[in-house]
Amino acid sequence: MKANIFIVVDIGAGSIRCQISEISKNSNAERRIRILEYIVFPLSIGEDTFLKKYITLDTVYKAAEIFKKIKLKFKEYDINGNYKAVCTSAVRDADNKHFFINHIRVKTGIELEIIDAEEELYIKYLGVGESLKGFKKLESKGAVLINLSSGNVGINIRKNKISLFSSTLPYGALRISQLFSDIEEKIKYRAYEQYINKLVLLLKKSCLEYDKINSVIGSDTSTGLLLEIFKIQTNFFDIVDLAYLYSRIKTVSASEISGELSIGEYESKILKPVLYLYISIMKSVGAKKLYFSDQNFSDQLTRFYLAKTKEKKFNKKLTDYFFYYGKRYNLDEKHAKQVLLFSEKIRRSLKNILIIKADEKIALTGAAILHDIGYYTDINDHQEYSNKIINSLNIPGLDREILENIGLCSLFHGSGERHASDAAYYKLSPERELTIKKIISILKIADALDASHMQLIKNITIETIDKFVKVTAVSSVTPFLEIKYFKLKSKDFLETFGIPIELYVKLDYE
Amino acid sequence: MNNAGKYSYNNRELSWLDFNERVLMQAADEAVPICERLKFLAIHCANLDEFFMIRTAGLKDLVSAGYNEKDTSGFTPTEILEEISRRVHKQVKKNAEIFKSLAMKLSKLNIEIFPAESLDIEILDEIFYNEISPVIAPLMISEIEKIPFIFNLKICLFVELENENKVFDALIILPENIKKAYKIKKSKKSYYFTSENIIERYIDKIFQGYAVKDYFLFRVTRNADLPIKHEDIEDLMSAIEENISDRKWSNIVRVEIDREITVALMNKIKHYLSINGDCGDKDLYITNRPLNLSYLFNINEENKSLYYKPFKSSIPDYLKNKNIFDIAKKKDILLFRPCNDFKIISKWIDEAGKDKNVLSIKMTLYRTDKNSKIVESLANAALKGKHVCAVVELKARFDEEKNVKWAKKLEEAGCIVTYGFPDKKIHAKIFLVTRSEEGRIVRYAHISTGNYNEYTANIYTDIDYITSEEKACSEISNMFNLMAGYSDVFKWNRIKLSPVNLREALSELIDFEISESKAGRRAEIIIKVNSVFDAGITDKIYSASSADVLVKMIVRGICSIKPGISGLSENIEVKSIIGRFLEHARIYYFYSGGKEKIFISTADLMTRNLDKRIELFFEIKDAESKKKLMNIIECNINDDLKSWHLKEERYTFAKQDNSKFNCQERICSKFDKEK
Repeated sequence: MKANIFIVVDIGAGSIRCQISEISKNSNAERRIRILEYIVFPLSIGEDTFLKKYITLDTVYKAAEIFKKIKLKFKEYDINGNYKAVCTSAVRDADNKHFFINHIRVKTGIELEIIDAEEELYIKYLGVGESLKGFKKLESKGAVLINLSSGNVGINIRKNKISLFSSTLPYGALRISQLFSDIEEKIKYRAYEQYINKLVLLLKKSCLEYDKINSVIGSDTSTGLLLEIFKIQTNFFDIVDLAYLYSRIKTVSASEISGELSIGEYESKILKPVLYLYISIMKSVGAKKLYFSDQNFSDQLTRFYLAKTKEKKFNKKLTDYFFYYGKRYNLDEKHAKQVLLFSEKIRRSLKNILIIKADEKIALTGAAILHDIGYYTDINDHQEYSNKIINSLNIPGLDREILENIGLCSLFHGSGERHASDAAYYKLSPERELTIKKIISILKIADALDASHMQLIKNITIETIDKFVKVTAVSSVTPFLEIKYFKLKSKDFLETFGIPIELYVKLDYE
Repeated sequence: MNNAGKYSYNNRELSWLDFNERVLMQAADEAVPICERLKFLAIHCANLDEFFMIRTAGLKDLVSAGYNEKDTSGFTPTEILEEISRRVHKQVKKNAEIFKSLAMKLSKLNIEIFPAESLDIEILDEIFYNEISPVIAPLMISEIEKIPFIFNLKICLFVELENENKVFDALIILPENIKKAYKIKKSKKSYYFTSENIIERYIDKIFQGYAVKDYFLFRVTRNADLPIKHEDIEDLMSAIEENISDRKWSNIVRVEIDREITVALMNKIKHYLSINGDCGDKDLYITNRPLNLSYLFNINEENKSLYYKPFKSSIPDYLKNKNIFDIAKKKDILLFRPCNDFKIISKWIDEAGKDKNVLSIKMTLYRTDKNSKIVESLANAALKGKHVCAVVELKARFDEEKNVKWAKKLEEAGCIVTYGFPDKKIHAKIFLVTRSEEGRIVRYAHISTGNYNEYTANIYTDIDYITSEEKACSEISNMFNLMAGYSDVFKWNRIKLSPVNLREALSELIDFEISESKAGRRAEIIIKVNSVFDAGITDKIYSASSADVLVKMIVRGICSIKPGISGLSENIEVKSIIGRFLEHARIYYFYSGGKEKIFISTADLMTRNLDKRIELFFEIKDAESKKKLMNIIECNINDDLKSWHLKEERYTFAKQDNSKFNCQERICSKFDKEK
């Protein structure tokens, strides 16, 4: 039997990393990942991007040479396309990212993908969750998860298993260092401090429950660097040690740091912002320890793409997230719950007709809960605002395309001028257009069944009779609005699934 | 300050000359069969050739560059050159005496290795006229007042001629392709003629019309143009670069003349060779025996008593007709060359190339033999579509040309050939096979102390180790990634390698013994290597001795350590074993608080091995293999037939009348019995 090999290539700011893993299943059919090789190819793509905003041709050529070597590894393990090569901020933020990706494709045949900052942060969150002992406890008590990389800092503030705040901000260690590269070495640290202080201020303002956080967790190359310096056996760094090191090096040049601490040139360049950023966030929440996971990003990516790491009960958690964000915008919780209940009933009852995929189910859940949050901004054009708000959200682990789909469905959920067929206006792929139409068609029916927002219809049953779908609604009073809107909104259902849907109201007297 | 004073290291060159003297003494050892003694004479001679081309030439470069500082042994380059000349003259004289004595003994056995001039053998006419005469080109050099460039180690015949009261000088340079020796059987006697010996006999025929006044054979040794690696002089390279811009590359460093000649003739040859400056009178050596003794390797007689008992390498029962992958999956395999047949390894490499489950093969190649079957196997594997990666070291001294040839052969077959680093030689001997077995990747590594060379595998002692241990194989895989230039960012836990962390690792291991000893616990180090020459390591071993750590060393060649000096090295024992096989395995043992850590390596304790080469230092953890290695070490320590003991800078032969322990025989006997 041929071994199942999966290769992850992580194109970061300071290096390109290639992890070759073997995937096998144990007797319980659980996936087991064995790392066969992990190769780090140093290459400072980030220095180009964060200083010049583009990747220089020289770096592009160097990267191509590295990918030629990686290609040899593909051949060596005969992986036959079983790989993921992902770019993070150093490529993502470069103006010529498409040229870079195309050059690598032409020269080596390797397809690179750019992952967005939220997804990157989520993958790292999962990795830390899996590998850091005591993570659950820290998370439930309130923790800020910092993914400090070269280009950006990902901040995920969590409490009681919920993400209170999640964002990726341009405060990466190398970026900060490049930003103030023209300032004299002795006082450069002051510029770093001012810049990082601004970040802390932003966090405090943006996250209402920031004062409830008491732990700080670091990840990625920044904690790897600290580990290289401190060589500790525990899973945390003490703030006293970090502060002492910072006081020792803050006025010293990068070359002196490199000599004194026996670290590389690149590492010595980013050490000051790394230390100060961690120290200042730790101080801001009163944390004495900086916890970390020693799992590297390539490993996290491997586990993520092989779906070994799955956030437990992720879908349930997503529902919580949708409600959490909805509440921020004064969501009509009862209506949202009702629409969610009805849409789920329709989906389940008609699963053989509707054929809703897993991603579509998530979008349907999201749309059922969030479709009306635009009321928070403007009652007259709430669909438009619902779409905008939904698109501004960062929900850890939720694919950006799914979130956009939720937004589009919310945009089209009304009974007015917009119809599901208008989705074509957005020049979506035929597959995605179909997804949108399917979700809208169900959402409109479910939404119509609580058109009054008064939960008059208590329950529904759905049957397929002859050549139509019969929805029987149980209500204590005649639901006039629901009946009217059902008629208006059921057209999409017919157009999408090719079968009419009809409402029968059964009055339920006590 | 210890009793050794300021200079507590043995001198590298003199230590090496001591080693070569021990080789020479094998030729004088009555216990060694006579034809094998001839081979030791030839080895002694060949060793000196290399010594002059590299080491003496390097020292001369230093002198030319105006560098005349004392080294760690307290000698300046000029002083060392003086001492080398003195000692080599002595050794050359001894070599001639032994040669004559052996020639006489063989003559009594009807074997003439240096036939008398008066001998009349008709077939020589045929050899001379048909084979030799057509390829030689005598030159009259007195008329052109200079001689053509004489290549390194080419044998030349200088002839003084006379015609009509006028003296002429002539020269014959023996061509490259001329046969070294001819064996002629006549009247139940064997005669071995060198080509130059035959030419001498026909000298009148070559120079017809002239009277031959006198003649002699000579050869020159030239600087091999390889920069000296003088580990103790940090600014050496800059000294050379700054001061030697007008250096005459490949200049003569030694002249050998095969017999005593007149002062007039001597002056003539000195004049022709422009001997002055770099090469002076002290560099002239009268050998009083054939100049090149390599023909002695071709002495081939039917009388078996003249040779060592035929030696047959064995295959342990547990490996006979077995698939190495099947065995290595279950347990590690430790083999000892030449007792165990190297074909076990070469055959395995060949089978790996044909194995349908094998995904990739990676190998380092340093010195391999002509028409190497291993190279053939790798090329075939690549042709079969396997991913084959060969890391070829082109800089293996004197093998550069050969290495280029088979590197090309591998490339043509589709192997990925990489050439390591411009500034570091790849000296580690590793082979890694990756196999897909029932949906799982399994890697097998072969780690050796010796080259992948089927010829030397029969005459060098070495360790071969095969393992499928995951951590070891994973890090060896990284070693290949490092050597192939993929990256230099790796974490090394299971293996140690130079120049990355070997020096540090050795230091830690020795320091641990020191701390154990200081705490009143047992502390012991046993090191078996070819050479020791590094100030840091020497000092560290002295520190261990000073802390009462028992240090036993088996060092075949150069040894900078001066054992037995009170207050410095009294707890260090150093011995050198020179036997039938060339001692080549490097084994390191540390008592380590009872854990008994034992390592095999390609690294000697030389600065070049620790800082300038890629070497592997591998701990053997498998209990059974550890036991075998301990046995090998014990045999080395117990040897009293082939051992020389070093006390400060002087070696004494350990053999006594009641000595009976020959370690090479004992080890082979143990491995031969292995089931």
